[in-house]
Amino acid sequence: MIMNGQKEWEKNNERFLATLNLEESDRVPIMDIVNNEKIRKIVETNDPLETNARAYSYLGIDITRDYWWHTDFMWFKNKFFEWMDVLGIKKEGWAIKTKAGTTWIDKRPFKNLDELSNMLPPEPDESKIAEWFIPYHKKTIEGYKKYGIVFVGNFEGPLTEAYMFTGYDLFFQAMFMAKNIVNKLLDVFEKWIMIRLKLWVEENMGDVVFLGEDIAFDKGLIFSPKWLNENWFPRIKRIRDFLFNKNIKMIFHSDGNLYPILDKLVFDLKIDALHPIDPTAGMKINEVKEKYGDYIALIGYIDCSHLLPFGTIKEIIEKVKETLYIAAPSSGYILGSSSEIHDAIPIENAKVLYETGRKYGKYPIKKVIT
Amino acid sequence: MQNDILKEIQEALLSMDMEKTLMLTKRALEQEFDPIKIIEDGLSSGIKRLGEMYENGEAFLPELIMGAEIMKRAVEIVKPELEKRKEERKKLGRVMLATVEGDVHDIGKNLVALMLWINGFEIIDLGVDIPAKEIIEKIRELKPDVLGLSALLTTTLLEQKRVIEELEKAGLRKNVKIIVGGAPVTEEWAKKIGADGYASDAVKAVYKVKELLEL
Repeated sequence: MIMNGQKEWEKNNERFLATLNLEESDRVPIMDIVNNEKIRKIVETNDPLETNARAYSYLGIDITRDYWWHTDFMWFKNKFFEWMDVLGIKKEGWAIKTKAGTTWIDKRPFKNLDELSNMLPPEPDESKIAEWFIPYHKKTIEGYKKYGIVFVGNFEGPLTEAYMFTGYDLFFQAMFMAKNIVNKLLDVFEKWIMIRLKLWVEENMGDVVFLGEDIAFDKGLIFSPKWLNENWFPRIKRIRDFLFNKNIKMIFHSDGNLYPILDKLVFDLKIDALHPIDPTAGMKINEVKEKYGDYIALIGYIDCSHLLPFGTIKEIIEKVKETLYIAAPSSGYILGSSSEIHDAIPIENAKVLYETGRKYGKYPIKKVIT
Repeated sequence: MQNDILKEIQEALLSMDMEKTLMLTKRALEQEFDPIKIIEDGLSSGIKRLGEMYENGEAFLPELIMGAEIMKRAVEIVKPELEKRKEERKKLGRVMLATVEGDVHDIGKNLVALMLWINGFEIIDLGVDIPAKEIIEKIRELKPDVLGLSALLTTTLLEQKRVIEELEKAGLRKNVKIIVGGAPVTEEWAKKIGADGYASDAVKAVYKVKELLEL
């Protein structure tokens, strides 16, 4: 199962960077997240990081932003550790619950804006963050590299961190009734991400980072364009400018329908790539490719809500071929699911997704729509 | 004069002004205004307008959630007077809502509950992460006209199907109309699992429930 480690990693990294630069390489890169118990059981070892790397290697995935995938480490559980033990948020009153293969916040220590105002996160402490961030990320990068897999630093944006901290309801209330709380939260979480990005750059951990900021859902933007322009965009622009000046590529992620803000993301923010082109929210890769394909790379799009869990092998093959023909000719597309390979996706369906990508993703790809 | 204050309540709610909405609601009560009228013609009208604005892309989720919170607090002010007068809003039907087992998301379900309530439906909200068995017991006990099942995750979509199958087995399926919703839910999915309807958002859920109950 173990590949040529370093050599394979270099090839995958080169292909990845070429695609983000919109240059043709040997084949379409494959990037994804796997969170699937059936696959884990096949590759499991005592070491969660090793298990992760083996899963990606087993499926033929070149690149991931996944940390040490394990139910115990997933998303909020990981986030909880980071928030409490690294950022210094007090633990009392918080509770989490693991459901459907991931972990969610079950209880927060505040119920209203008054209580929240007394429990805002502290100012991030750079040395404390460095103490955790550097060894943890170096270990992760090396753990994957052994199996030839490129790890992309995964950072959640300040807005997502802020509304996850408060919960949607309270964050929305604060937007209208306590703007100082919103500003304070966004300030803290902007510092939190900037410190980690600086460490990522200083420690030369990689040429690409993944910035997740869920600002949309299936109906369109969660927040009004006006609010985003005034409160979010200047912050994300500062993050982008920092990365741009350090020659680091930025993949921007948001679920949902991003059409109303795509011009802004591509032409003002100058993102390098967009993920995941959410098909269930009405995003169409042919439209995005046609309008923005000369400026950004596209990542994902293969529907993991219905096609991958419930579709036939033939349907998956056809969709991957069609997507490659639309999005990949002359570079600019990285194959992957529209979110992750979750528990409802059969192993065979996941395997055929990547096998088809490797088979039909070799350059030159003819621009033929089946 | 009387209708002016209802209009002011509506406008204050649409401006997201919690303090003013609550103050005007109290004032309307002090002026011995019919509490049902305060709810129907003041607060609910405001939320309905907000729902339309949301549908047209003039308002967004934060406005809708904030509007719901203002309405909730204003209704709390009106409630004692309603109880004192032993008055009840007319009810178009009884709707039971639940987020299925394994799923802890409730923002969509809560909005559906609010929009149905302001449109005159009685709401029984079972909450989140509700097992099929519990839903069936509650249906048997409370006999709703409509059951709304929410799921945000693909991994919990199948639970919607399971609830419908269990209702069939329990012989209760024909007694209740079922609508499904949630981010990964589609019209095709609703048909495939034997639901009676699908709604992509809270406003459309009201139309769908009315259609199913032929109102």
